[in-house]
Amino acid sequence: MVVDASDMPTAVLLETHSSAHGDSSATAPTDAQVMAKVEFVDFPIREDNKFQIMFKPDATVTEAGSANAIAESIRIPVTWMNKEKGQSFKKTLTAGDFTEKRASAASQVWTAGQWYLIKSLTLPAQQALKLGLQTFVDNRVDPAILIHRQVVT
Amino acid sequence: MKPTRKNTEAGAEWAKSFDPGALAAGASKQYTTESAELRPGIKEKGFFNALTVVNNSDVDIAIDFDFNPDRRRTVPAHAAVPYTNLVPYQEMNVLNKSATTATAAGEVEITIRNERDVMRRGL
Repeated sequence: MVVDASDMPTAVLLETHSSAHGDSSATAPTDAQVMAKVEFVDFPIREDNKFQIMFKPDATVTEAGSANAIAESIRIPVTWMNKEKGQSFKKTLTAGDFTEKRASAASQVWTAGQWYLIKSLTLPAQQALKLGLQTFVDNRVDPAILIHRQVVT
Repeated sequence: MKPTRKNTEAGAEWAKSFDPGALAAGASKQYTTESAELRPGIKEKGFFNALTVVNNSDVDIAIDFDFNPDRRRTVPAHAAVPYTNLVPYQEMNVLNKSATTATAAGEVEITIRNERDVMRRGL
């Protein structure tokens, strides 16, 4: 979703079910061909606005008291625009591009049906992005999207 | 019961009070645009921009607007705090910040409001 510099939500770009992201399988899929695909969303996220990922669990999850965090795998294809140069390019956002908002923590509870803000990316000056790709070479790989976090319960 | 001219508090375009009920330690309750408490206001005004929390419990209560912890307002135990001219919000998370103490029903009262802009109100 998109929020402005005051953290006020301005748009929801995409809402998918966890079953499209490997569901409750232990490890994240690594083959982009089997991942869900994302369409191009013609809504620009401009500088100072934030691109955020929220999570609403179907069932309550309680993380283990220790050694709870295993791995996180994020792959979000976007079109990144450099406004000052008037140029855009394709980019795949990964976990490292985002600021962590709710990391895995020992004994942490994720209550069923509640929304949690998990990732946030603030657009730098003179930059903008749109979710998805307008054109791609391989439509089974390029627009593949994955948001997967593995924890021990 | 006699009908009142406008079902709002003074200065408010739309207001509603409700009790979030008992909250276990560390637990939260979320209100979305579909919640019975918020939906009438969303339908009429689109958003809320003011809030009052009367917290008579023994724990600190946090309100996260639009479920965003970056927009948190904390109401200390046994305190009443009014907030006005807030960045508009449509949804909220009510969190019991205590790790050990629960709240009971009736101890917390939340009033959500949509207020006219202070300038336009001519004050």
